[in-house]
Amino acid sequence: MTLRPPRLAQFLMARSLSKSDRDAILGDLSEEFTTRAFSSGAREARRWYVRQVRRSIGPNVRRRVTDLLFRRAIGAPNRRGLSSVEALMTDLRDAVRSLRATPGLTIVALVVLTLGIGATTAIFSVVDAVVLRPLPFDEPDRLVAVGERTTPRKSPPGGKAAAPLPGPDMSRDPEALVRVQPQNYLDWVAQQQVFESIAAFADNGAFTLRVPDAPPEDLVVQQVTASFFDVLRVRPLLGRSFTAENEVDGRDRVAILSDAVWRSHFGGNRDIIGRTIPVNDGNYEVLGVMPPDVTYPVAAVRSTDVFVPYVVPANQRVRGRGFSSYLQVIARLTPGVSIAQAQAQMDQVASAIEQANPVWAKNLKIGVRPLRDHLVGASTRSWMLMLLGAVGIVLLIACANVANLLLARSSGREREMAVRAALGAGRSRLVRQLMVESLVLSITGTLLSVVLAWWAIHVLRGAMPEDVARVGAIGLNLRVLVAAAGLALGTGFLFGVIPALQLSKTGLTNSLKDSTRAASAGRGRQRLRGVLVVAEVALAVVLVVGAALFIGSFIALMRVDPGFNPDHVLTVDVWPRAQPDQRPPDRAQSFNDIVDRIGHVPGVVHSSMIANGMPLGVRMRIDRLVVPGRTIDGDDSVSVKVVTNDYHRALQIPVRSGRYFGPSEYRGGANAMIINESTARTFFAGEDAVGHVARIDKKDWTIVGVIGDVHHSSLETAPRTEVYLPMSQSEANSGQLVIQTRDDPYTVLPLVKAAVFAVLPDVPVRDVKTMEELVARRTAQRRLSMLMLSLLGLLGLVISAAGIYGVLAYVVSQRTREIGVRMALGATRSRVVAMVLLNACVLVAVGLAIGGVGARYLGATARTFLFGLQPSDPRAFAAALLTLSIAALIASVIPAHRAATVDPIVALRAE
Amino acid sequence: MRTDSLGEFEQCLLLAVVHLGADAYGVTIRQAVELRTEREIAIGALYTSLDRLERKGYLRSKMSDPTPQRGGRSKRFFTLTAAGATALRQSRERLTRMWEGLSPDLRRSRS
Repeated sequence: MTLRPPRLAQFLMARSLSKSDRDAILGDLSEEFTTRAFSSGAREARRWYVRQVRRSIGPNVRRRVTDLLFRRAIGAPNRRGLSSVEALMTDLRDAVRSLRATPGLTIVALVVLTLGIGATTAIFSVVDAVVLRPLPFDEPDRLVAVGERTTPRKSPPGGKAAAPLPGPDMSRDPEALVRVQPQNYLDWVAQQQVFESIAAFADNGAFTLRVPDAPPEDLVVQQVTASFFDVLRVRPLLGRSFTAENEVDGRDRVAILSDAVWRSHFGGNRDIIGRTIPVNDGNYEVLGVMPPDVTYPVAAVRSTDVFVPYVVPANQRVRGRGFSSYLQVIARLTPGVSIAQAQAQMDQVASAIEQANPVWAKNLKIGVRPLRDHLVGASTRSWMLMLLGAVGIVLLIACANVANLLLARSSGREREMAVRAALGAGRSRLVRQLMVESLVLSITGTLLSVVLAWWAIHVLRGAMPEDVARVGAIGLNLRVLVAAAGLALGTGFLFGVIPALQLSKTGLTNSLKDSTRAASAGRGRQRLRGVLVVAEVALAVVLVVGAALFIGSFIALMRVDPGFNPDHVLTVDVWPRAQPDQRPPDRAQSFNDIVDRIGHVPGVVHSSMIANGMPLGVRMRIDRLVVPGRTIDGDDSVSVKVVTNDYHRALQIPVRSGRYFGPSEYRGGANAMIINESTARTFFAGEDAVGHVARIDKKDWTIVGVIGDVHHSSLETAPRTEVYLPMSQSEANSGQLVIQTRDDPYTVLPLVKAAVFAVLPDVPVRDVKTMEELVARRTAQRRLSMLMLSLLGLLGLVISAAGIYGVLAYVVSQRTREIGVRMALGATRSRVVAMVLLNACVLVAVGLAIGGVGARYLGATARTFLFGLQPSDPRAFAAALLTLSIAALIASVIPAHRAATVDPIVALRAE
Repeated sequence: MRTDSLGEFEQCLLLAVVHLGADAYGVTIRQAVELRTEREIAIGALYTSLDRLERKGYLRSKMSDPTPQRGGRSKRFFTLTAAGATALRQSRERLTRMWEGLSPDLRRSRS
């Protein structure tokens, strides 16, 4: 048996003692522990030790607080300090005691404060990290993103475009920039004079680590120009960055590792510099390692693992037939140049390029935008600011409520204060007492809200949609906490102290003379409290209407028929990597083989594959559809999907006329095409499209079927015109397997992987998910908005209901005598109840009216976030007003009941 | 000189320090009071009172050199000051005056 004091107890004791005390007291304890262990055994001694610690922690903490305020030094007696410190301790004790005397009120105030401050801190911390905080680079205000601006085009020049299409957000963000063609980037570099440095990078490269005896592993790679490091002003911590000399073929096999990858994959070895690492397509020499705090994109969920030089492929230096836009461009403004000036020059550059290449660069627009805005995106920004507004309202309601509670409390204590004053307590003493009370309340509330905020941030970070930037930077923001707590503290001070000042002004004798219970709060103060309740209700209406609108949007979204059945469907990316400067080889035959093999796996109902982007993905290929003999007024572009024969069956997309693809579609057979309803409407209005011939890809295709529309880019955007070509009759270089299964989709995954491996052994299987998971991911932001606003709305509802309850309960208790008299004189219980409820109704009705008008105006700001309903949707307003009325009614029932059960005899005898 | 009146516990502590003389530190003071009053005293409460008495100027304390049997920690030794002695004497006189003239029954009935 060891002779050591219990470790935890010792630790707690040490922590609770100030440094100057620690030595002497811990020494005493351990000395006596040893003595006791010898005389009465180790177990007894340990028990004694724990008991000592348990009983000492309280006094220790109190002493530390006193020390802190008093700055005591051992052996330095100070009489004056003693009295003020002890007075403060007395005040604190009195405050705690008096708060405990009204437990209901104190608990409500604490809960309200905690929820208000906690929720505000959590949301503001998130918004600050994602939207408000500057980028973590040198002089971040000078960093801009440069990109091409989308302009509606009837059809892309040069026939075919593989341009990445705007994601779901871009349709809402007029400032959005799209990616840049390398040809244009080269011209920009040559012609611009407003940027100190400008850089391009591409994220579509492959970097598969091939360490011997280990499975191949994909790293996240950015191909960047050497100027990338100048623009951001970052340098490797170890080694060096590459230079423009590396931007030529043959010299580009150099890499800079991120700190995280350097530590996780290379053991943090400093001799990594100069070594070569084996990668899919050869060896790369490691030139440097980035500092740990430098990541790009900033604080992304998955940030870049390795930077390699970007070399413009030879065929993309000149403007040939095809083009692809895949570069992202960032730049640093020359000192003194504003964004507007930069934009003006880039406009000139754009028109110069357009003049030189009238067909190619038709309608070319260049946009310059602060990098932070570009990374975060306007829609995320306004979404977050809206959440911030909502939580701000919650905080306001909370403050109004605390003010109300404190006013109620002080009215009830008028007599106590008067007695104290009569006994000689000075005015400053009374004010101080009230201040200490609200201080104790606010500080306790703040401490509780730190816990709440910490937890809420944790939850929020996990719930953020994956396309939100800078999620990694989200953390508890102390400045915000201090600001929110300060607001609560100020409210507490203001409304805690006003009554004390008023009291001393009006004089004591009145309060004392009016010593009967009939003395109720002054008319002015009652009116103030009524105003506070009205404000609370009005603010709550705004919140609840908002919540109702978002719930309605979500329901509308859930009602959208995606056009396919996501049940029991597994999707797998099959994406053979190709060199960026080479045309990717056609893999249609291999893909058909894979699909055939998977078709034989037990549990698979339909096996299929799609190229050019599956539903709810961002990839898309747009082409022109020509139907001989017809001209189309509007948009003649269609989205072209290349699918294997069972694709429509696997997703249960209904056939409207004609048939699905079948065995008659094979390589060399008659070209067949399936179109969707939108295409049929656009090109063959009023007649059956089946049997017609349409031209795409310089080939003629016979339409064999018309199928239902599918929401391709997102559930919110309307389906567009689409055509499907059989994979056996066209080309495909990458795609997704879409497999319908009988049971849990994941059970077939091992055999699916085996089938891919058997046909394409060097292609890793990526991005495995079920269609249902994809749908859930694409609705995540809306789901989150709905949940957050519902939660905030509920908070506002509960807090304001508590406010209504508090006021009515107080009014009833103040009027007990009056009610008693009324009942003694013959008033019925129902009349008493009606009297109390009328009181509530007036306040609530005014609040509802003001809040309704406010919500009507504020609703317009949320318009862009709504789906399927207008900001003035009467159902949402009705639901919100009804909910609030019910909550108010519930809050009034208890005080009304209390009033009704007043016993006239008791009430009158109480005098 | 008039002094603040001392609480019972404070008197016990001051008296224990007098009893112990040069050997008055946490452990011995605690044991002395515990032995005579037959109630367990938490060390945290003990030091709170000792500190207060020191601030009032009734006690003086000094840290010793570290001793090995206490895990290399120092002891804090306490000694009574002149003011402390005065305060003790006055407290006792006050109490004695209060007891004067009371019947012996009360004294005995206290068990």
